[in-house]
Amino acid sequence: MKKIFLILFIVFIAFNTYGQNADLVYVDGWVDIRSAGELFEAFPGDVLRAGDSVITGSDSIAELEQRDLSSIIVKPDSIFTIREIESDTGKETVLSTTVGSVSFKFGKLFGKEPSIATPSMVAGIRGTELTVYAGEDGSTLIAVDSGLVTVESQGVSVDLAKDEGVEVLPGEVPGEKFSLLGREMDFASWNAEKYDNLIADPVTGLERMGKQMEGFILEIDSHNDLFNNLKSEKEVLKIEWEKILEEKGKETGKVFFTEKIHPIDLKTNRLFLNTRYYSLSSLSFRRYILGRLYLDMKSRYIMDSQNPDYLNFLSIYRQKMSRFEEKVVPFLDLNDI
Amino acid sequence: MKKLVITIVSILLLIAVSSCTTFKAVPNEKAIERFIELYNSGDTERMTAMTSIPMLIDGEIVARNTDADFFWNGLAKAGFTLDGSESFTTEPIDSNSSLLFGNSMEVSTFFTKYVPETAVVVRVKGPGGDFILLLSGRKGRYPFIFGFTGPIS
Repeated sequence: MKKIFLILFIVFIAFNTYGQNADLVYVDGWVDIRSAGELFEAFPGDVLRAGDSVITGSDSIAELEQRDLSSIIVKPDSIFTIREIESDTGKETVLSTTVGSVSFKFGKLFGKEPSIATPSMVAGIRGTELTVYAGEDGSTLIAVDSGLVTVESQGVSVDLAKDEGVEVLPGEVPGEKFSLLGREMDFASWNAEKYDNLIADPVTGLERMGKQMEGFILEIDSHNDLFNNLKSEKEVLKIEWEKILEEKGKETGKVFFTEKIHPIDLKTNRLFLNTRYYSLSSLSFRRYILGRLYLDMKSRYIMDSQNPDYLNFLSIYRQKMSRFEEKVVPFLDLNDI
Repeated sequence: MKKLVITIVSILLLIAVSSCTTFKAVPNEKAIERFIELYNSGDTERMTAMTSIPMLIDGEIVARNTDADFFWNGLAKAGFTLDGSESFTTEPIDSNSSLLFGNSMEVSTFFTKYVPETAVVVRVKGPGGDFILLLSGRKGRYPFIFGFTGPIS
């Protein structure tokens, strides 16, 4: 009986682990996969694991399938990443859209339903079909076709049901939810409108993005502080453990290690993973949202580089970048760049 | 007859070699000149094709073709051109070249990870000062661009 449970447990773990991956089942046009710091052309049959991204071009599309028959369609000009975060209930998959539009249709065969994230929000889902629009200004629009979605940003949640949508600006709480009935959703025109608003007042947009970045930094700091506290606690316990080993023997030492030190190791691993999660989210935000705004401003003002508006933008931009360098970069490694 | 065959084979070989794509070749002056001409022609599609992704623009790493295309189009729209005469200077990259783009971990990692040893720093005049092009390799008549920054003092 015990053996059967063990086998079932192992099978469950294997399925759950597999469930965090996604198979690329269809590619139209040129699609890249970024994995472990390398960029390569994607082909059907490729498997995406936590940390991997799919990057579609202006006329390409990719379809992914998870083992539980969930389907994910990454539309043109999008960046989609599978990430992992630790919560009180264990490791969770977060399906993250940095920019572009991605449609999700979730199966419910087994395992936990993942969370959906963009730079400006996180959404919990239940038996859902939805589309996520992540604008080049850092905004998000969620449109629900079926099921329930809870969208959370800056500590405020909004529940969405079938045919409902909500918009979230970077660094802001979710807006009022609205009905999608009779409303034709088109990412290109929504994104263009958002971007036009951003470029009409880039400094305000930049400040808003800065607020979003500070949200990531806050998470990084709080996880890292806890991590450091636990590390110090572990150092003290290790001294005690060595003393116990010397004075009371191996068996008592083993009990002490299992009861006192091992739980701390588990907690520090979890905190490390979460610090990485927020660092990488911050990097994506900086690379594809803030970076694009910078490129746009540079090209717009390249013939007038001493323009006071541009210089003001640059000054604020550099402040944001030095915050990034100071607070986020220490948690990145070479493969992330 | 033998001479003719050798000539044809040589021509074919030359065509094959010149159309090869490599990131690791030191660009010569003529190729750099052609690259500047290409940029000034406003053929942004070709410019994107000659952009090595990721590319560095000032301290920003451009990780998508879409963003590189967006940038080249933006420059063309602004009417930005480089000095088309032969007044550019070229020097091989060294340990300080990355500082032309910025002093951050991302920039130094970019140089370590993505810039071939064969890359050259091209300094060319443009509106408002000098601009830096980081070029290496070859595809057909043109080198690839790995970085762009300026105006610098």
